[in-house]
Amino acid sequence: MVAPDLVGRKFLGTQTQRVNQLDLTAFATSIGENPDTQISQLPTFPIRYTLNEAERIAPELGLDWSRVVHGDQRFIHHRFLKIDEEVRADSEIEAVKSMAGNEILTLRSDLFVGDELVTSTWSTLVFRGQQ
Amino acid sequence: MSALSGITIGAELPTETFQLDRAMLSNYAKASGDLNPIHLDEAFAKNVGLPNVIAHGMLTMALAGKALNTWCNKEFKVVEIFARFTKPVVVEATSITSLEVSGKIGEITDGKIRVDLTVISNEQKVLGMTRAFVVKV
Repeated sequence: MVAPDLVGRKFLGTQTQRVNQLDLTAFATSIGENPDTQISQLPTFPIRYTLNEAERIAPELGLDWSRVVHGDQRFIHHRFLKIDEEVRADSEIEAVKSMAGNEILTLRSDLFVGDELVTSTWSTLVFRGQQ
Repeated sequence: MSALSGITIGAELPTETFQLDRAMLSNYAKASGDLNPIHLDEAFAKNVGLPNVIAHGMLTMALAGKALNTWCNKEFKVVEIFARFTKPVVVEATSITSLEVSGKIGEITDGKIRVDLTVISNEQKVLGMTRAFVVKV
């Protein structure tokens, strides 16, 4: 079980990821958009840079990533990422609860370019208990 | 012209329909970095109690975003989007799964338009509480 005192724990991004055209084009075309679609037209694209952070953090909390189900997701774009920017995700646990044998984690991940907050994201992740 | 130009509260946006198949799931998995086998491997999905391979919740949400992009038509942009993943979208190996995204204007405050989305597959709502805020570009 995840300890409730994990609320407020922060995980600073350890490395930056470069926003690049190849990733953007792959994301756009995977959902049937034109290859020249802009980041501002893909409101969920930043998941590309936050999901891997959540995957990195989960084992540190004793959670098994292979048992995760996405509960909900929010993005707030303060502005949109740009190609060639180096982006870093700083994350914080905003809530944890146990329900019916599942561990439910609300993780906020803020995407920064340097000191500038570009996109805020919230993921509720449900880790299914062993049956 | 954008479907959102001059829109009023309560107005409905034209329904967008998308087709999901296994190739789309595979492409989205690579593009998003979410390689969870429940979206890719039928035997694995069934082994963990799912009826079959299911689409990524984030893929369904990305398609809701695609409907928004169509409605925005480069005149508006999405500054906030939220979705709750309530029902799995099953994607069979040999058939196509349809997804219908419709929208209704919930609120307009200081030029910020709240679009309430309904996302349906197989006659069931698959996303809950789905809403976006859009503003003029």
